[in-house]
Amino acid sequence: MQQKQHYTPGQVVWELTLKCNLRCIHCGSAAGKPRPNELSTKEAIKLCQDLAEINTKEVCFMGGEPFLRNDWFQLGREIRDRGIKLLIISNGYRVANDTISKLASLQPYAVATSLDGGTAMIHDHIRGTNGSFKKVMGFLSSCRAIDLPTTVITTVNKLNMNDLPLIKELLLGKNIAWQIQVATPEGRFPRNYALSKEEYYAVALFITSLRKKYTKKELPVIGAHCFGYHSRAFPGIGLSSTWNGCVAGTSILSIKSNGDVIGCLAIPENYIEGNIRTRSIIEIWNSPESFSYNRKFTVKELGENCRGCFYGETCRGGCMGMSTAFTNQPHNTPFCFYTIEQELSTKNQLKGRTL
Amino acid sequence: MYTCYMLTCKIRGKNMNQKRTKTTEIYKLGQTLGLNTDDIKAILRHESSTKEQMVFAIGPPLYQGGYYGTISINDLSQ
Repeated sequence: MQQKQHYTPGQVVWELTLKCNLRCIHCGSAAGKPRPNELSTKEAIKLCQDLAEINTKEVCFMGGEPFLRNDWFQLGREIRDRGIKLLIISNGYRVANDTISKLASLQPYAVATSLDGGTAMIHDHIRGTNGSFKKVMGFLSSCRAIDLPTTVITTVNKLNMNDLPLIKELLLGKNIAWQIQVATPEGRFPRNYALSKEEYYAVALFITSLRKKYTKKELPVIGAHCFGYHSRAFPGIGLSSTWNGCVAGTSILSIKSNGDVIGCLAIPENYIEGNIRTRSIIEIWNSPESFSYNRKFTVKELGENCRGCFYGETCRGGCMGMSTAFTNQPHNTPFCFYTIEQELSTKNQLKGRTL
Repeated sequence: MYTCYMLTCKIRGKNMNQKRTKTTEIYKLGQTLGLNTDDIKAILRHESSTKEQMVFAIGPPLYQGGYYGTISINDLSQ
């Protein structure tokens, strides 16, 4: 008899609002205007209580732009008062004067901001707003000045891939974590700007070279969930040397600003499990019917890219967001180190012997 | 006679004619990111005594950070 699994949310990613003051090319949520019927403060506070009830370890506020929601600080306090770690992702644009001191008082586990170019030209173009590079650099300086744990997120696409060495120069020795992730064709992001498999693999080479060259203290850099899996050349490009499949709905949980609950904000709306206005997050999380694509996964569900793979059962076809964005199918990521290396190794290409 | 790639495609039911990853392209792109050929070869030759692991522990996979959300410098300094 199969043992009943007990799931605990490690990180809850909460889209506080879809309202945003930038119009980034790669925005997977196509953020700009708030969603109709976003949660009220009262509903959001109840959600904080319920998240504590299901033993949530971390809550990550994102948007849209979370600082555009007037009660962000109050909700941050609700989270912290329940002993939950708080992380906040902001675009760093037009941050009010008192925001940094308010952030500091919450003792966040991370304050993250997006940096998508090594110069204003690329960053501002991607962010759709002149002056945003200058603003984000100012925001980073303000965070570091009071020693907030700071992270930079770079979302890589064809437009900014060649800027990675410049961004590295900006971050080197600054004690800022650098999370590099791949832009996927969803929301506003056009498919023709997405990385090719070669570009994807080259970015992984770049990350690996930095990790070899610099200590974690000099340049703490990682590839996000979209970089993997089971590589012979660069194992453990992320935080861990293990990859045991997408964790949407098993230890990651996401909430949209209108109360919709989904395993991950990067997957399509047909995976929404319910809305906290009609069923509490406790009920949704604990329901045996929820998040079945990961909780009840079988190898039969693997798509063409992953079918028959040695790692299929545990890998579950890589990142669900990448898989659905590029192939419209779950468990079918086309971006996989293991597959790429198999293709490369057919003529001993992997060792560079053909060059 | 099957090449390794053809065999893999056959086993996995994949289309053999789909575009394959090109090594020359990877080297070229790596160089635009500031890596020289020797750097790239050194990384690619690191075949793995430290190969990425699978863990067959009982229980659901756990959050390890770095997902759609953000990691913290505190995760990395451990």
